[in-house]
Amino acid sequence: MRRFLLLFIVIQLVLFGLELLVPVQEHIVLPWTTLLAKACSSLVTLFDANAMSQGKVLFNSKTGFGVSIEPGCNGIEACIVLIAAMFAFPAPWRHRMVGLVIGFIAVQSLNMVRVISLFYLGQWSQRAFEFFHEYLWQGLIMLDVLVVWLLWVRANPRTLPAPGDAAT
Amino acid sequence: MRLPEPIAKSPLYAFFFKGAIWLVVLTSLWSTVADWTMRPAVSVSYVALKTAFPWWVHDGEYKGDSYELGTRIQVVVANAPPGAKGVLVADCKPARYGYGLPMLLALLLACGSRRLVRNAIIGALALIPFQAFSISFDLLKQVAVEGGAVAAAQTGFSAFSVNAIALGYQLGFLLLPTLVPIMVWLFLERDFLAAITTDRQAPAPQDPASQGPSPGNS
Repeated sequence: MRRFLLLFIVIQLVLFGLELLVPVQEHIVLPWTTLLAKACSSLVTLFDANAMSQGKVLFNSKTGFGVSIEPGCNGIEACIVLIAAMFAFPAPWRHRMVGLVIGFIAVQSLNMVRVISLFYLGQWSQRAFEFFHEYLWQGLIMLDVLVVWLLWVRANPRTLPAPGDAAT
Repeated sequence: MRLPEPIAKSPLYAFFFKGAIWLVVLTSLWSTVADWTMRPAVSVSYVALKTAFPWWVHDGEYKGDSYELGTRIQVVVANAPPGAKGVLVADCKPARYGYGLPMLLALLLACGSRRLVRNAIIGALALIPFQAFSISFDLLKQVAVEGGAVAAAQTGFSAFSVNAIALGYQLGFLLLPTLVPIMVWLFLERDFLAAITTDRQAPAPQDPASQGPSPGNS
């Protein structure tokens, strides 16, 4: 457990530091955030013709209301936590790679639900928007990361020893 | 809490389902008293900043849901009478860094913690230094990064310090508020973690009538 926690923190700090570098922001984070905004607007236009995206902003062309997808809302930090947790836990590389792909899809899918829900909450009530944006969705996304990781650990060929098992 | 049978059968899905419900309920309740729950972290942050930077930190005050840190850093105020000078005030919304508390409680309730009160108290106390870290770096970022050259001349922050503060702010804003409650929970409930991740390997209960003798049974 101690080894896992230490590795988890170190990997996370390294990935987080890399994410903040200007070239990474320019070539990975911003393009990803733009793609996310486009994907959200494509989904929303299936039932709402007024939704559009420009850069990292998803907006309503009729009312002018928009949400800008900022750091912390693009799901990248949540994916960093998941990657760090999967790399810190002893597992075969194949299992890790499969976990990363499925985990990335799971986290980003829920994140799209978050962005779209905030887009509509903001048009309905500023107070509700703030509550969901600043508090609730943050926790739900991290709960998603935790459950994806727990599922992955449970499917891991090298599982944890059960409580009460002798340490080897 | 009674769950639909397919969810109740899987401890992990039951945990997720309960966790999400408790998170919604507790975060809603917490948001009504958030400012009070953040007072310890705000106090720790003030003491830390006052100790580290006694020459420019002046006082701290709660105003509504925001916390204001008064400084001795003098700044020129636009459209002020000739000779008048203002002081820099940094403010932040502490609750923005405090939602880890309902998150931790939701996880403890969802996993059916056998030491709920004890772990909730330990967990809540463990969160305080990290919340104080986030608040402190939010305020420091405003002084060091947004305060510009005028503030830098009075605080003495080097270019390296400013970069370190910016990094600390990003860490305190983007990662710590959601990550620390999970790490604290993982540490406090390691038995649950071990049980839930190995439950697929647990032997299924057998019919005693069909059970033959085994080396372990006598």
